[in-house]
Amino acid sequence: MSNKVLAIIPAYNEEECLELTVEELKAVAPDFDFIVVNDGSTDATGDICCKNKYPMLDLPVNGGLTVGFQAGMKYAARNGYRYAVQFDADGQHMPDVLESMRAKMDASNADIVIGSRFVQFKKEHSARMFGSRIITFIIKLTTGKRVSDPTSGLRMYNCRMIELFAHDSSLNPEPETIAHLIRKGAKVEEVQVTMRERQAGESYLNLKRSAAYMIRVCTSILFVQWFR
Amino acid sequence: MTGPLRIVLIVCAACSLFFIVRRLKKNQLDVMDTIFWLFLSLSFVVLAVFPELAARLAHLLGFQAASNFVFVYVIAVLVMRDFSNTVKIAALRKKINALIQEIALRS
Repeated sequence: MSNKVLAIIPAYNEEECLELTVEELKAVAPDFDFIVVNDGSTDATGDICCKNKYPMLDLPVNGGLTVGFQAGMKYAARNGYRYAVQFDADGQHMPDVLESMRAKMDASNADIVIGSRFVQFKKEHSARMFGSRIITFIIKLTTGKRVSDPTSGLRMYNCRMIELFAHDSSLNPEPETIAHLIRKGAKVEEVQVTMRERQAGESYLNLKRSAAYMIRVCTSILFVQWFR
Repeated sequence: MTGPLRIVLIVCAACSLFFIVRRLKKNQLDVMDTIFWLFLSLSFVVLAVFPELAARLAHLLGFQAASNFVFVYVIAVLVMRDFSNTVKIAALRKKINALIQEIALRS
C-alpha cells in the first residue's frame, strides 16, 4: 500500500466548473492524486477530462453520486491508496484544507475525517442550516457523537473504510452512513475548513429534493439503523 | 373477531415482521424499501393486537365492518406499491438498455 491520498471527484454535467476545480487542486495540492468520476454526463465533462488528460472513470450510464463515489472507492482499493477523500467538482471545496485533513488522520488514527465548517464557528440560523442542525441532533441522539457538519461532502476515509465502501454497496457518502459507521465503531474526527459557494452550474437541491433528502436521512438514522 | 383468529393474525403479522427484518439485516433491501415494508408489517401487528382501532377507523370512514376497512387499506397500499414498482422497473430497463449499447459502442 502506498502512502498516497486519492481525491475522488464525482462529476455529473460539470463542464463549467470542472477544469477550474481540477487545475486549482493540481496547483495547490500537487502531492494528492485525483480521479474524476464522470457519471454519464451528457455535456462536455468527459471531453474536458480527455482534453486535459485527467485520470477519469468514465461511467457509461448515470448511476448517481453513491454509485460514482463507490466506483472511486473501488479504484482506490484496487490501486492501494492509503486514504481517499471526496472532493466536489463545483469548486465549493478548497484544496488547501486537504493537507490539514491528512495530518489529522495521521495524528489521530481516525477512520473518517470530516472537513467541517462548524468546528470553531456556529451554524447560521437559516433554512439551509436548519436541516443540518436536525441531523446533528439525531446523530448525537443515536450515537452519542457530535458531528458538527454532517452534510459536508468533504470526507476523508482511511484504508479500512476504503475496503468497506469498495465491497459494501449499501454504504453511501451521506450522513446516515456516517451515523451507521460510528455505531459500528468507526472513529470520526472533524477539522475546521472554509468552503465557497458553488461557482457555476446548477445545484442538485431544490425544495422538494431537500425535503425528500431530510426524510430519507432522518428515517434511516432514527429507525433503519437499528437493523443494519 | 374470535379469539383464535386474533391469535393467528398476531402470529402471522409478527412472522412477517421477523422475515422482513431478517432480509434487512442481510443487507438485501434498499433503505427506502425497508422503511415501507417495516412500517407496513408493523401496521399489521398493530391492527392485529388492537382490533378496536380498525373498528374505530372503519366506523369513522363509513365502512359497515372493520374487515372491509382492512381489505381496502391493504389493497390500496398494494396497488400504489405495485404502480411505484412499475415505474422503477421502467427506469431500470432504460438504464440497462443504455448500458448494453454503451459497452458495445465503446469496445
